[in-house]
Amino acid sequence: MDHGGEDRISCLPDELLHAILARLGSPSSAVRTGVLSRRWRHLWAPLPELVLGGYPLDAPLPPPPLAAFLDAVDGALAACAAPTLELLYISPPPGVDYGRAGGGVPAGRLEPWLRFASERVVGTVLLLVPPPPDAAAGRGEAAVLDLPACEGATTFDLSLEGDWRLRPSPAGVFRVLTDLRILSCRIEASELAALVSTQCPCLTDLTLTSVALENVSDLSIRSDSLRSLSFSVRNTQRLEIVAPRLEKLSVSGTIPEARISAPKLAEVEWPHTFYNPQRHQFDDVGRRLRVLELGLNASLMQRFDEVDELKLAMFIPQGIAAYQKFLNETNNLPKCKILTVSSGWVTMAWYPA
Amino acid sequence: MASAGSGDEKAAAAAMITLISSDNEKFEVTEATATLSQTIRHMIEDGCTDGGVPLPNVTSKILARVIEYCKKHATAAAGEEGSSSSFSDAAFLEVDRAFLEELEEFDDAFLEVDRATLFDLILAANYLDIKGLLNLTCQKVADSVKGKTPEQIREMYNIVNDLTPEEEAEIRRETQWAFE
Repeated sequence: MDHGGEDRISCLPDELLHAILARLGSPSSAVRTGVLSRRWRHLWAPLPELVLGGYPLDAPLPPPPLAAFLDAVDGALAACAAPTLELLYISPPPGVDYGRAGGGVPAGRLEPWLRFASERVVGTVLLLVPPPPDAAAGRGEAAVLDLPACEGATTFDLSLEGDWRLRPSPAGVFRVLTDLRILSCRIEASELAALVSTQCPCLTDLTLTSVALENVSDLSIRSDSLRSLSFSVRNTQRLEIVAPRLEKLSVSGTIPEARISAPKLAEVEWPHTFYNPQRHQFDDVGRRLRVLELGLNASLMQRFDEVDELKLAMFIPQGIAAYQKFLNETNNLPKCKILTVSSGWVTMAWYPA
Repeated sequence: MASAGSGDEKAAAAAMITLISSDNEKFEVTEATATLSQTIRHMIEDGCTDGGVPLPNVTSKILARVIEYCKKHATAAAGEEGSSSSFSDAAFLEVDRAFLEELEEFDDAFLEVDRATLFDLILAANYLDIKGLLNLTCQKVADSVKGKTPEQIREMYNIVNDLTPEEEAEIRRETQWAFE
């Protein structure tokens, strides 16, 4: 085009091309430049890791003040010249006194971390989000943290401290995300459903721990890719799971109603949770499992004829009626190869001769 | 420093530096303008600016543009570096906001250049270590590439594809997700 067809851009030194690639704002745009020519093939190549914070094993020093840590993170992210990153890890050092630091960290200070992750990471994101300032908690409402789609992330592990409401951006897709772990936050049921069911098309492993829906609501998880689901979400009124590839399901907490359609289901962990065959339906689920782990809901095992490994935590309630119920529930064990029965501190296992 | 400083700073700002382009043209600029370049700042600190600062990598055409940028931004830099305490002053903030808007307009107009000039500016900003100008010009190139297909980028920047079709296919396979 201009300047007589000369290729000026490819003549720039690597550091300047890195600076340009880092400003593209999306890892896929950076990765796509790899086919421009031989010169560009490896320019976008990721930095192996950027680890900020965590636990200094060899330094028994008092943790730095929170403000200093935040400044250090901002500085490191600003200074990061790599167009893409394989691992981004940010965690305030343990023992940081949030009280002294004004009660926490406002969302505006943390959102650049998430934006950086969405713009640069082509691998794993591990973030430990410090709690929001007390002011938000004082009004009885959760502080809102916006979660942008991270198109290049394959693993996303987000642990939140304090009372955050996580708000996934409705725009954008986690194109290659296979592992998603979210620990401790509030979220809208519709936003969680959209995140898992439509914004993560490659998701295979989902772990939701100590998550709470904003309001008591129904939740629907539909995924053609999901293989393993660990589900601990408070305020779920009715849980619907439609997951043709799901093999492993772990549910904890009380869910009044559930409908599960998972023809490949082979491992079920459902301890300490109320089970009622009328309200908890396993559609399209065979009568044979590899692993079944049960607690208070021993009657769930009657749903299955054959279980390779049955793990049964016995909770025998007091009173004749309750004991009778327990006997009825455990009267008819599925055929199994390994039976593990535990009670209190004692675990006993029988193996067939 | 230039406008809001103390007497000493005013004296420093009044000090003039001579920059000499690769084609031997001389440019007289204030120290406040020149020191937006970290490279020149270090030279001044080391006391090696007597008789002018030769810049063998920068032509007079590009140096004139760079100086234009630095003049405009020198006042802003003085505000930023002056002290963070000045930002607590609400009146100052108001003035500052208006100034920043004006600065943004200036930057947009400044970037209305042909591609050859843009790359010359990037190289000059890098050599002279002028962070703001480097950021601005690199972002301009990044914005022009954003959302384009590899074919469009090659055409736009005259990049010759020297990969064999097999190699290109292999790269596309390895990074397939980015092309979907």
